[in-house]
Amino acid sequence: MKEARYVIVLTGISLVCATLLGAVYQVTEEPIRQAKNKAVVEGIQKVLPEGTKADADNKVIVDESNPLSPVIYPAVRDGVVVGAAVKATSTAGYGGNLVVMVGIEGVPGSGLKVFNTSVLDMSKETPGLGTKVAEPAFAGQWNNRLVTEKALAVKKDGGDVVAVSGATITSRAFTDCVNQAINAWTKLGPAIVKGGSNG
Amino acid sequence: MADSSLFKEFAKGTVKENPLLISLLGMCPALAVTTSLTNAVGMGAAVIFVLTMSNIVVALLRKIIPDAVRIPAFIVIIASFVTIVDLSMAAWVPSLSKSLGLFIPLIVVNCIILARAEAFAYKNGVARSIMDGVGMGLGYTLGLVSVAFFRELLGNGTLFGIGVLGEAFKANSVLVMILPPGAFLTLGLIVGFMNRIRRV
Repeated sequence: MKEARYVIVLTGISLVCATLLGAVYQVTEEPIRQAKNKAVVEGIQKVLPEGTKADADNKVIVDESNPLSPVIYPAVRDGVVVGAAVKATSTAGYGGNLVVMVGIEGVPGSGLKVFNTSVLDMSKETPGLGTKVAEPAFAGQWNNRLVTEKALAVKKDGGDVVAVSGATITSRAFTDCVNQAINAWTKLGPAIVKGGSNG
Repeated sequence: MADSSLFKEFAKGTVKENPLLISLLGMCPALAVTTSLTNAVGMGAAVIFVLTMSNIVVALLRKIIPDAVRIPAFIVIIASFVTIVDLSMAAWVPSLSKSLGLFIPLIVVNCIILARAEAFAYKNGVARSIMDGVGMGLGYTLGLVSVAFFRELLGNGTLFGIGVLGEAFKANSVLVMILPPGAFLTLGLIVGFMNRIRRV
């Protein structure tokens, strides 16, 4: 009957552990969701000009079937859509995905410019090297940059974006995010502006 | 007498049997997360919690758990505490949880925890096991912090994210220290230094 005791003891331990984990999961579920949401809300606020409002719940997902697709948060001033914060994910980061919130001022057709950017997730980049893309020396060059027809690129690829030295890959991924954001807004912006805002 | 032996269980983990610098256990996270002091302290705190809690539970259940199934029993207990830490960090310190990433769940397979359960808590009472857990955990944290101190200071010019060597240094920091080779160099030199001290 020794084997029976093995089974009983292991089952007992597993049951107790499972119950405990279930309880912990329930307690932490809401704070985890809020923490994730807070990062998005703070990102939106940072990348849009003062006086404009965007709502984390009022969003347009470019491609519903793709979890990495850009997400547009229309920015509203006095009831009129005046730009957007776009969450863009680049799969070309150094160690994985790089997620950047890009604030775009203006509506398609009347001249766009990047207002500000904010890195939401760079946990896959090299600390102290790739993560420097979030510092003003690199991130500052996007502020108030006029959007042209030509896709943005780092200097090594023939563009005029100054990459972080030693972190060209992360800089490229960042540039990719900005391009994705601009494309998403250029493509879907007119429909969003026409539809008006509900904010 | 009992007090002094309890203290001995606590103190042995910090220097004499330091899990990282003497026993060379838990090297993988020690190389990976020591890019900043904040990471090192966060990782250390997680290990102290898991190690102490699993030591307590294993010591409590040591007469109930049959020898033949002790390893799976230990793993279930350790994995539960690690999951608690993982979820709590994601809920209340999301930034730390992001930068430690996969290395928190990986504490499950960290040999220090299983080794202490097997070699100590399974054979000793609760009080001594708590002392052993806290001592070993603290010793591991000290090891992580000493590696992270040099890597963050030289590689980024900061300590706990605060600039201490000035902007000029920060712009031209010793990048290799933040990169993986810096981890091997620093850890190797510190382990060598510890060996040198022990011999004297």
